[in-house]
Amino acid sequence: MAIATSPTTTPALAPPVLDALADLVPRAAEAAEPPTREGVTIVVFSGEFDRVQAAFNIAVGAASSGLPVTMFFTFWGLDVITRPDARRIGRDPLRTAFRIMKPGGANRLPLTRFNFLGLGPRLMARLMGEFKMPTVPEMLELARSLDVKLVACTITMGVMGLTNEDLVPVDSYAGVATYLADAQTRATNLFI
Amino acid sequence: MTDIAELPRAAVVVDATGLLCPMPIVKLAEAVKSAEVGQVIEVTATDPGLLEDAPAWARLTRHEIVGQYSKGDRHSFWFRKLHA
Repeated sequence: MAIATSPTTTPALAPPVLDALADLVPRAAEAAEPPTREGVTIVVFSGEFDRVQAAFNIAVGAASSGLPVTMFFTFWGLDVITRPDARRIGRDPLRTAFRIMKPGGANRLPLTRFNFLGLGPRLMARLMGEFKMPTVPEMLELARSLDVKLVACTITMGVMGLTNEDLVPVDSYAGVATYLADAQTRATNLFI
Repeated sequence: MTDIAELPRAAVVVDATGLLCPMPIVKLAEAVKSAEVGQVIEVTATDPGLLEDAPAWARLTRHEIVGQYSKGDRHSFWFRKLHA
Protein backbone atom coordinates (compact mmCIF):
# COMPACT_ATOMS: atom_id res chain seq x y z
CA MET A 1 0.00 0.00 0.00
CA ALA A 2 1.50 3.17 -1.07
CA ILE A 3 1.59 5.96 1.36
CA ALA A 4 0.67 9.09 -0.29
CA THR A 5 3.34 11.61 0.34
CA SER A 6 3.00 15.09 -0.68
CA PRO A 7 6.11 16.44 -2.31
CA THR A 8 7.98 18.57 0.15
CA THR A 9 7.89 22.08 -1.05
CA THR A 10 9.32 25.09 0.53
CA PRO A 11 6.58 27.51 1.14
CA ALA A 12 7.09 30.40 -1.19
CA LEU A 13 8.27 33.51 0.57
CA ALA A 14 6.34 36.60 -0.04
CA PRO A 15 8.25 39.00 -2.30
CA PRO A 16 8.72 41.65 0.39
CA VAL A 17 10.50 39.07 2.59
CA LEU A 18 12.78 38.09 -0.30
CA ASP A 19 13.63 41.68 -0.93
CA ALA A 20 14.48 42.16 2.71
CA LEU A 21 16.71 39.06 2.63
CA ALA A 22 18.47 40.21 -0.51
CA ASP A 23 19.18 43.45 1.27
CA LEU A 24 20.52 41.64 4.32
CA VAL A 25 23.00 39.36 2.55
CA PRO A 26 25.43 41.96 1.25
CA ARG A 27 25.10 43.88 4.49
CA ALA A 28 26.07 40.79 6.49
CA ALA A 29 29.10 40.35 4.24
CA GLU A 30 30.09 43.95 4.81
CA ALA A 31 29.71 43.54 8.55
CA ALA A 32 32.00 40.47 8.54
CA GLU A 33 34.73 42.47 6.78
CA PRO A 34 36.48 44.66 9.34
CA PRO A 35 37.30 48.17 8.19
CA THR A 36 40.78 48.43 6.73
CA ARG A 37 43.20 49.88 9.21
CA GLU A 38 46.33 51.41 7.80
CA GLY A 39 49.09 53.53 9.21
CA VAL A 40 50.80 54.22 12.49
CA THR A 41 50.36 56.27 15.63
CA ILE A 42 53.21 56.73 18.08
CA VAL A 43 52.79 58.16 21.55
CA VAL A 44 56.18 59.72 22.23
CA PHE A 45 56.17 59.69 26.03
CA SER A 46 59.93 59.41 26.53
CA GLY A 47 62.37 62.25 26.12
CA GLU A 48 65.54 60.21 25.75
CA PHE A 49 67.47 60.44 22.58
CA ASP A 50 67.71 56.67 21.93
CA ARG A 51 63.98 56.02 22.36
CA VAL A 52 63.04 59.11 20.38
CA GLN A 53 65.40 58.09 17.58
CA ALA A 54 63.60 54.73 17.40
CA ALA A 55 60.23 56.51 17.31
CA PHE A 56 61.35 58.72 14.43
CA ASN A 57 62.83 55.76 12.53
CA ILE A 58 59.44 54.06 12.56
CA ALA A 59 57.57 57.26 11.76
CA VAL A 60 59.82 58.20 8.85
CA GLY A 61 59.93 54.62 7.54
CA ALA A 62 56.14 54.36 7.61
CA ALA A 63 55.63 57.76 6.01
CA SER A 64 58.10 56.75 3.29
CA SER A 65 55.96 53.67 2.69
CA GLY A 66 52.94 55.84 2.01
CA LEU A 67 51.26 55.23 5.38
CA PRO A 68 49.59 57.94 7.46
CA VAL A 69 51.55 58.63 10.66
CA THR A 70 50.67 60.56 13.81
CA MET A 71 53.21 61.31 16.54
CA PHE A 72 51.62 62.38 19.80
CA PHE A 73 54.14 64.07 22.11
CA THR A 74 53.36 63.94 25.81
CA PHE A 75 55.25 64.17 29.13
CA TRP A 76 59.02 63.88 28.52
CA GLY A 77 58.34 63.57 24.82
CA LEU A 78 57.51 67.29 24.85
CA ASP A 79 61.26 67.91 25.22
CA VAL A 80 61.61 66.76 21.61
CA ILE A 81 59.39 69.54 20.28
CA THR A 82 60.43 72.23 22.76
CA ARG A 83 62.35 75.04 21.08
CA PRO A 84 65.93 75.05 22.39
CA ASP A 85 65.56 78.80 22.98
CA ALA A 86 62.18 78.58 24.73
CA ARG A 87 61.88 81.02 27.64
CA ARG A 88 62.48 79.52 31.07
CA ILE A 89 61.91 82.40 33.43
CA GLY A 90 58.78 84.39 34.11
CA ARG A 91 56.26 81.69 34.85
CA ASP A 92 55.31 80.79 38.38
CA PRO A 93 58.36 79.83 40.51
CA LEU A 94 57.77 76.06 40.35
CA ARG A 95 57.53 75.98 36.56
CA THR A 96 60.48 78.34 36.17
CA ALA A 97 62.55 75.97 38.30
CA PHE A 98 61.28 73.06 36.24
CA ARG A 99 62.20 74.70 32.93
CA ILE A 100 65.67 75.60 34.23
CA MET A 101 66.28 72.07 35.50
CA LYS A 102 64.88 70.48 32.37
CA PRO A 103 65.07 72.94 29.49
CA GLY A 104 64.17 70.48 26.70
CA GLY A 105 65.02 70.76 23.02
CA ALA A 106 65.59 68.04 20.42
CA ASN A 107 69.33 68.75 20.38
CA ARG A 108 69.91 68.09 24.06
CA LEU A 109 68.12 64.86 24.92
CA PRO A 110 69.81 62.45 27.36
CA LEU A 111 70.27 58.70 26.81
CA THR A 112 68.28 56.05 28.75
CA ARG A 113 71.57 54.33 29.58
CA PHE A 114 75.18 55.33 29.22
CA ASN A 115 74.37 58.98 29.88
CA PHE A 116 77.34 59.88 32.12
CA LEU A 117 76.22 63.47 32.70
CA GLY A 118 75.87 64.17 29.01
CA LEU A 119 79.09 62.53 27.81
CA GLY A 120 77.25 59.44 26.54
CA PRO A 121 74.98 61.38 24.14
CA ARG A 122 77.97 63.30 22.74
CA LEU A 123 79.87 60.08 22.12
CA MET A 124 76.76 58.52 20.59
CA ALA A 125 76.18 61.58 18.39
CA ARG A 126 79.72 61.28 17.12
CA LEU A 127 79.32 57.56 16.37
CA MET A 128 76.00 58.21 14.64
CA GLY A 129 77.59 61.03 12.68
CA GLU A 130 80.21 58.61 11.39
CA PHE A 131 77.39 56.36 10.21
CA LYS A 132 75.61 59.38 8.69
CA MET A 133 72.59 58.76 10.92
CA PRO A 134 70.36 61.84 11.06
CA THR A 135 70.20 63.66 14.39
CA VAL A 136 66.90 64.08 16.27
CA PRO A 137 66.37 67.67 14.99
CA GLU A 138 67.02 66.41 11.44
CA MET A 139 64.59 63.52 11.95
CA LEU A 140 61.97 65.96 13.18
CA GLU A 141 62.38 68.03 10.01
CA LEU A 142 62.34 64.91 7.87
CA ALA A 143 59.16 63.68 9.57
CA ARG A 144 57.52 67.05 8.97
CA SER A 145 58.52 67.06 5.30
CA LEU A 146 56.98 63.58 4.92
CA ASP A 147 53.65 64.83 6.33
CA VAL A 148 53.91 63.03 9.65
CA LYS A 149 51.21 64.63 11.81
CA LEU A 150 52.78 66.13 14.94
CA VAL A 151 50.50 66.60 17.93
CA ALA A 152 51.43 68.25 21.23
CA CYS A 153 49.56 67.10 24.35
CA THR A 154 47.97 70.19 25.90
CA ILE A 155 47.51 68.82 29.41
CA THR A 156 51.20 67.97 29.92
CA MET A 157 52.15 71.27 28.26
CA GLY A 158 50.16 72.98 31.00
CA VAL A 159 51.74 70.93 33.76
CA MET A 160 55.24 71.71 32.52
CA GLY A 161 54.49 75.35 31.92
CA LEU A 162 54.89 75.19 28.14
CA THR A 163 52.91 77.42 25.79
CA ASN A 164 52.46 77.03 22.02
CA GLU A 165 55.23 79.58 21.52
CA ASP A 166 57.70 77.39 23.44
CA LEU A 167 57.27 74.57 20.93
CA VAL A 168 58.50 74.12 17.37
CA PRO A 169 55.59 74.28 14.88
CA VAL A 170 53.27 71.28 15.20
CA ASP A 171 50.07 70.32 13.40
CA SER A 172 47.85 70.49 16.46
CA TYR A 173 47.66 70.99 20.20
CA ALA A 174 45.24 68.41 21.49
CA GLY A 175 44.28 65.66 23.91
CA VAL A 176 43.47 61.98 24.16
CA ALA A 177 40.39 62.04 21.92
CA THR A 178 42.47 63.33 19.01
CA TYR A 179 44.99 60.57 19.60
CA LEU A 180 42.30 57.89 19.84
CA ALA A 181 40.48 59.11 16.75
CA ASP A 182 43.66 58.48 14.76
CA ALA A 183 44.60 55.28 16.63
CA GLN A 184 41.21 53.69 15.81
CA THR A 185 41.91 53.89 12.08
CA ARG A 186 45.54 52.69 12.16
CA ALA A 187 47.02 49.20 12.15
CA THR A 188 50.03 49.99 14.35
CA ASN A 189 49.80 51.99 17.56
CA LEU A 190 52.97 52.39 19.59
CA PHE A 191 53.85 53.88 22.96
CA ILE A 192 57.49 54.81 23.25
CA MET B 1 69.90 37.23 -7.85
CA THR B 2 69.29 38.48 -11.34
CA ASP B 3 72.06 38.19 -13.91
CA ILE B 4 73.54 41.64 -14.38
CA ALA B 5 73.10 41.43 -18.16
CA GLU B 6 69.33 40.97 -17.72
CA LEU B 7 68.81 43.90 -15.40
CA PRO B 8 66.41 46.55 -16.61
CA ARG B 9 67.59 50.05 -17.45
CA ALA B 10 66.66 52.46 -14.71
CA ALA B 11 65.21 55.88 -15.45
CA VAL B 12 66.21 57.08 -11.97
CA VAL B 13 69.26 55.98 -9.98
CA VAL B 14 69.42 56.44 -6.21
CA ASP B 15 72.78 56.20 -4.45
CA ALA B 16 72.10 55.39 -0.80
CA THR B 17 75.53 53.91 -0.12
CA GLY B 18 76.88 54.77 3.32
CA LEU B 19 73.37 55.60 4.59
CA LEU B 20 71.65 53.66 7.35
CA CYS B 21 68.06 52.73 8.08
CA PRO B 22 65.68 54.44 7.45
CA MET B 23 67.49 56.69 4.98
CA PRO B 24 67.81 54.28 2.01
CA ILE B 25 64.03 53.76 2.14
CA VAL B 26 63.42 57.50 2.50
CA LYS B 27 65.59 58.21 -0.58
CA LEU B 28 63.97 55.39 -2.54
CA ALA B 29 60.47 56.60 -1.65
CA GLU B 30 61.39 60.14 -2.71
CA ALA B 31 62.67 58.91 -6.08
CA VAL B 32 59.67 56.65 -6.71
CA LYS B 33 57.31 59.47 -5.80
CA SER B 34 58.80 61.83 -8.38
CA ALA B 35 59.10 59.14 -11.11
CA GLU B 36 56.44 58.39 -13.73
CA VAL B 37 54.24 55.29 -13.46
CA GLY B 38 55.97 52.45 -15.36
CA GLN B 39 59.46 53.84 -14.87
CA VAL B 40 62.22 51.78 -13.27
CA ILE B 41 64.07 53.15 -10.24
CA GLU B 42 67.39 51.69 -9.15
CA VAL B 43 68.60 51.98 -5.56
CA THR B 44 72.00 50.94 -4.23
CA ALA B 45 72.88 50.78 -0.53
CA THR B 46 75.63 49.35 1.63
CA ASP B 47 73.23 48.79 4.55
CA PRO B 48 72.64 45.00 4.47
CA GLY B 49 69.18 45.67 5.94
CA LEU B 50 68.09 46.70 2.45
CA LEU B 51 68.05 43.01 1.39
CA GLU B 52 64.96 42.54 3.58
CA ASP B 53 63.71 46.13 3.61
CA ALA B 54 63.46 46.53 -0.17
CA PRO B 55 61.03 43.58 -0.64
CA ALA B 56 59.11 44.69 2.48
CA TRP B 57 58.80 48.21 1.11
CA ALA B 58 57.60 46.83 -2.23
CA ARG B 59 54.88 44.81 -0.45
CA LEU B 60 53.82 47.82 1.61
CA THR B 61 53.67 50.23 -1.30
CA ARG B 62 52.55 47.71 -3.97
CA HIS B 63 55.36 48.51 -6.37
CA GLU B 64 57.25 45.73 -8.15
CA ILE B 65 60.85 44.58 -7.75
CA VAL B 66 62.16 43.77 -11.22
CA GLY B 67 65.78 43.04 -10.39
CA GLN B 68 68.35 42.60 -7.64
CA TYR B 69 72.11 42.50 -7.74
CA SER B 70 74.69 42.32 -4.95
CA LYS B 71 78.41 42.66 -5.25
CA GLY B 72 80.53 42.75 -2.09
CA ASP B 73 78.74 45.01 0.37
CA ARG B 74 76.82 46.90 -2.34
CA HIS B 75 73.21 45.83 -2.77
CA SER B 76 71.05 47.10 -5.62
CA PHE B 77 67.35 46.75 -6.33
CA TRP B 78 65.33 47.77 -9.36
CA PHE B 79 61.73 48.80 -8.75
CA ARG B 80 58.99 49.40 -11.28
CA LYS B 81 56.56 52.10 -10.22
CA LEU B 82 53.13 50.49 -10.63
CA HIS B 83 50.83 53.31 -9.52
CA ALA B 84 50.82 56.97 -8.64
